[in-house]
Amino acid sequence: MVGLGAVVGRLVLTDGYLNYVKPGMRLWLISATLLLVIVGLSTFVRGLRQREHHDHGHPMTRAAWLVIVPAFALVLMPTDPLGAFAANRKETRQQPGFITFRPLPQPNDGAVTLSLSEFVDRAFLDKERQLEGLRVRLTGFVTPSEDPSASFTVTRFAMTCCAADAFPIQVDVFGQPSPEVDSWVVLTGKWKPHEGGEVEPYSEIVQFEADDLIRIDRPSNPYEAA
Amino acid sequence: MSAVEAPPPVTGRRGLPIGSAELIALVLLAAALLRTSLATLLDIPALQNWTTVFIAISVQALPFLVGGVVVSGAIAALVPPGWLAAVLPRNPAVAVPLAGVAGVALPGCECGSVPIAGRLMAGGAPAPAALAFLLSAPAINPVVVVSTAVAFPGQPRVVMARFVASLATSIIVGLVWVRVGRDEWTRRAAERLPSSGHSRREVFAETVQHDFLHAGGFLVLGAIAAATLQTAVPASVLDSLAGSGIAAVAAMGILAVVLAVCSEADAFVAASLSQFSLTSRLVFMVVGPAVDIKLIALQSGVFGRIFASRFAPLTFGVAVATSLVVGSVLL
Repeated sequence: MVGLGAVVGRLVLTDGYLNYVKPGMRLWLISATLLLVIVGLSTFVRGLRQREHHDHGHPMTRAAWLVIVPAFALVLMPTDPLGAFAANRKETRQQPGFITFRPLPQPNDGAVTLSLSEFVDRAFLDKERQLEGLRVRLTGFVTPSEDPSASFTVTRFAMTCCAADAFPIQVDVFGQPSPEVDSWVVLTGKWKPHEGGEVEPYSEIVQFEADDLIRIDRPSNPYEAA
Repeated sequence: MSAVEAPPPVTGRRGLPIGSAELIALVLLAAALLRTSLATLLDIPALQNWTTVFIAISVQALPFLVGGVVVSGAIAALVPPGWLAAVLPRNPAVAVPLAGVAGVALPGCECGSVPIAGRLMAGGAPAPAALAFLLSAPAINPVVVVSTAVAFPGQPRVVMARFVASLATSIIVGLVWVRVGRDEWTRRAAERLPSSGHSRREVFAETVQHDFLHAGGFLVLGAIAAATLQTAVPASVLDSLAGSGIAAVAAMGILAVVLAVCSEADAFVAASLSQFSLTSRLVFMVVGPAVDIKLIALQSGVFGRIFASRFAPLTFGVAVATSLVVGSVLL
């Protein structure tokens, strides 16, 4: 118990947990970790003191050993969020029909910074088409594009609960050469509306004409809120 | 007899936590040291994806599991055994619905309700009532109600439908259990002896440790299964099930079992699957907290395999049926 608590504790303290669950989970994880460590330590200490009569009375199933597996996995494997592999496997999901947009944030440095989900939602659902002609900044990681005319696809995962149910938000990028798959980039440019007028929302991938691309390190919170 | 059901021999010196603690520490240390050398070997995208999903489920569920066993420990420490059996009316027709409604009081993921129900039974509550509670608590507590309301804004009938269908499921299953359930199926939980008259704090701590390790082990099994399914099954297979009618309902029911998402969040998952009808998404939300891979594993661990092999299909069937009925009326 203590081992698991310690490993999870470390995960929380180093922000590694953001690879798996939402930032809001932080407090819960900390309290859960503390509880595990406290109770684990106290039973351990009690066990030491009562060495002679170490008789549990109730059998412990061997499956209890499995609890060590997440700790083991966390220690052994690098803490990675979902990447291009998952993006290929999963379908994107659409917003529930009813949505009101907050007012667009102020541009900073010449472009409005938007999350990929907001960008895509506005592209499909914003009746006022506020995106037209607007300089926008997007952040995501690189995945290969299914559209041969596009250079690459910029992707980011949005989670509802945790990484297990995350779904990819994707935007096809034009105008910049493709960096390495799974690398993170910040793109500045404009929405490229579909030719041929209105399309069924979420039926196609939104397109983006990028005039600037900067590579960045993977952010500590790689996910967007859904 | 599976390895799970046969209790390992209780030996004074070799049982947890003494010798095993050192062993575990060694294993973790070895893993930490080996990490860099194994890094290139383990750098397969599929394996990393699997690990990420696996860890995500485990980490996400962890606080709720801890919360659940803390409540379970509190019950064991503070509630005298037999109290619940005395307090609940003898007539199962009344006890079961009461226990079902009592589920409103317990916020948390379904991971927590399994050890708690086990404790309740060990403390003397009649099995059908404890099971009704086990089904209703994860599905109708305030956190879930709120999250469902947030996920389906402007559509309170969805929240209501979920509440009604889950409560109905828990009560129906409880009542069915009165008729067909046999005590030996839940005997395993009742076999847990109350700790030998130590202080309340000790009872609490030992219960927490015991329940956490027990339930946690099975949570991990469930997370392994879910991660494997998510990494190994082609997405197109799952997507092609999104046809209309019966196929969609069956797909949502199966998806709910496979995805093992915590009940606080499954409303958001359901909301985003907007190609499916509201009713089939209701099926997803009602089945999920009641039966999924993770829960089946947890229930097997706490109540035994025989129990789980009967309880899971029963619950699944009732959950789907009630969702369909409630859905057709309300949605």
